[in-house]
Amino acid sequence: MSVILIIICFIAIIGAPLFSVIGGISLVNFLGIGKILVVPQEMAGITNTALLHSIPLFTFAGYILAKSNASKRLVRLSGAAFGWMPGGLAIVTLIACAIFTAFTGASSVTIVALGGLLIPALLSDKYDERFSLGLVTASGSVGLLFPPSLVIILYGVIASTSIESLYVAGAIPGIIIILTIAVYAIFKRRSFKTENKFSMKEVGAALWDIKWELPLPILLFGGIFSGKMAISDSAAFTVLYVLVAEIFLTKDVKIKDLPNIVKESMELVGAILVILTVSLAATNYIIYKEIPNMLFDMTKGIIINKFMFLLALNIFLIIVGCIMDIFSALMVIVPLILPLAEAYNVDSVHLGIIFLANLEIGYLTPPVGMNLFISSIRFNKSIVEIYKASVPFILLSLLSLGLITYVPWFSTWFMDKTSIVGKWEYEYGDGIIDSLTIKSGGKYFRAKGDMMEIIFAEPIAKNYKISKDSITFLAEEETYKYEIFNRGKRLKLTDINGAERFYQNKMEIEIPAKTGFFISGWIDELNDVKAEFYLNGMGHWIEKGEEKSFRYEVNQGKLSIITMDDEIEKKEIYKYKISKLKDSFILYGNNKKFNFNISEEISDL
Amino acid sequence: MVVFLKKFVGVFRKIEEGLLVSLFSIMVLVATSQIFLSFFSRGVIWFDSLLKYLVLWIAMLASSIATYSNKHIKIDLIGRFAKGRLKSIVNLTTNLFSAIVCTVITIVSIVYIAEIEYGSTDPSPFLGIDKWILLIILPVGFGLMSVKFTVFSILSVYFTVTNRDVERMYSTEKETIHKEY
Repeated sequence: MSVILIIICFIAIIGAPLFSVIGGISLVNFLGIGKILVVPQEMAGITNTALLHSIPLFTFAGYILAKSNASKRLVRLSGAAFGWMPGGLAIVTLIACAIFTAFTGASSVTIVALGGLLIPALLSDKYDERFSLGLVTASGSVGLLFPPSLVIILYGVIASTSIESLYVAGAIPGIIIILTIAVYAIFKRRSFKTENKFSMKEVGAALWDIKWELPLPILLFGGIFSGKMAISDSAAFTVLYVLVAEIFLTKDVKIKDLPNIVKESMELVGAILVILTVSLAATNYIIYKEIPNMLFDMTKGIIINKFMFLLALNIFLIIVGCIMDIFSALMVIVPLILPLAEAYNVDSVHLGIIFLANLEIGYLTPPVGMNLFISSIRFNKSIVEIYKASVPFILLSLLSLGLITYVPWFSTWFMDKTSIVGKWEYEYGDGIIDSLTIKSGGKYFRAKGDMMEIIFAEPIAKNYKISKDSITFLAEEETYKYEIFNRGKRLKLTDINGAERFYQNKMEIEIPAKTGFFISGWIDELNDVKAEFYLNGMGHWIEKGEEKSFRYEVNQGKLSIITMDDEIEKKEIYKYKISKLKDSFILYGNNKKFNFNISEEISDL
Repeated sequence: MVVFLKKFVGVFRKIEEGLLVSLFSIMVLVATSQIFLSFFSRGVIWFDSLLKYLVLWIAMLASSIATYSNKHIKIDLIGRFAKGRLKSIVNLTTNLFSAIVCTVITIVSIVYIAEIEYGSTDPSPFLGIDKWILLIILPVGFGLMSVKFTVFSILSVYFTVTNRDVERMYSTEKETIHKEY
């Protein structure tokens, strides 16, 4: 069996289509365990993948834009806006390429369409040739992290991670990648006076020139980030917009060209999706054989913490980037690495950004870096010349990769912290369960025993204390370091001897820190109100002896209390202010004001 | 023989491409009409399923078409640098391998559809069309590719024997970056 697999791998590196390689490996593996029909079954499973149709649609829209003169207008506008600065044309190159790549997908298109405009402009502004070639070659892939980038959608589909979150997460890392190169360009040109002058008139004229394309990114970003447009709709919207704009308004593209554009763009889509189809079977085998666990066990002796994992990941992905293009690397590597990343508590959104930033460098690295080949053909230079020209840009990309990887904040700043409040369970080998229900306001419930004992345990609230990253259960006098894994899926407690235990989240939902604060029992003696917020999003309210149930939501600094009155939903929105010690809060709004303190009477719900 | 094959392939390619373009147009229509319909908050529920199967059909057809012009994604660490007869042999190996894989996938998907999907009582994804009919594109797509890879394998033998440049095998693709600009 393994002989066959080795032969297949050899056939892979001499250039067999990757889909047949992955298909072949899946067939051999599943034949080995006598379940060959799983292969077509998993392949048919591609029809269960959400959002997949946005891949052909965005690709098609990108190809139309590439065929139109949008590239010329884009270069003109950024030239008018930035051309006058020191290193201005380099910045023009970066920005125009980034926007163009974001829309057309990472591929040869940017270098082919924009390179021909930018290289002569750079040379005539007396940039040296090697720098210009390197810059354009590197710029061919800088826009990968911005919406509506295709690779972000593909990662989101494969890792089932929110594409909206990935787009927000990619913004700052994408800017970092551009800034590092821009700063280098400005530094190189610091003593050089450019002849380009800033002219408001030219900016206006350039804006007028691009009037039909300019609204697209604005509508698209606005729609996605305001939540008004779903990603699936945004793809169809982009196609419709681009069709109308380029065929009827600018008249750059003729209707009779469309079938050819469909064909060309779908060849790329087909090549990607057929790999995705067969790799579903391969992924199933990876999960069935628990290969990520094996990898984890093999490496956990060497890779002892998150930092080491990220370092290993960076190096591994650089090597992968040298031999695979970004699409296939995503489809082959993500299912393998995702469970490992979870084990080291790397957020899947952050992981996605690392993957893309990392694989982006692969476009520039020999031997198979696609940008290198395209530039070499496009600008009639030997591949070795392009290699040399790209070296400083590879180094700069590595610098920004470091920042993006080791400062997770750049990609996760917008995400709420996860609360330790929740129902956590750890199962000892012998069926004994340690059940921890942690509430806000320093109260917790704990029961240890078999399942029946847990169910019938008397719920007695005890007190805990949190300081920095450790929690002390006062009743048992136990102190643990804690870490919340994978957005609330697991809670890791490490005792003073360094022994680790992973508690599973029994509620199976992530409770953001802002919501978690309320989950406890509260009392307002002045108004004679008792309220309790339960873990499941419901609550109980007793006001002057009158009881009612409610549902609650916490968002954007406001607490909504939703009650059902004769099957009609009533929603009251309150503002709140939390005390420093986090054991009381003021709730106000709707002409009411409550002063809640933590209550001694709380349930373990 | 080569001339005849090329002609035959040319006609066949036109049919596939026509089907691809039509399916893609349907997809654009369905996806865009979905925006407008949901704007008036009356989306058509089965449109979503339809889109998913359209993606599968487009993917398989497009992948089959990509085979004509050798546009499939590959790792190609060594093959890229091979020259002359060695290149032809490399080409023969990769094409033969792909032909075998595609043939096996075609057979197992036929078996899968016949044994499992055909008799399945799963609800139809949309418009009362049975799921097995919609999945038939899997064996069809891989079947088409296996035919093509087999033809390329035969051509590779011919090119190896006559020692000609294998690139010419895929010559139906005329556009190069140079010509376009």
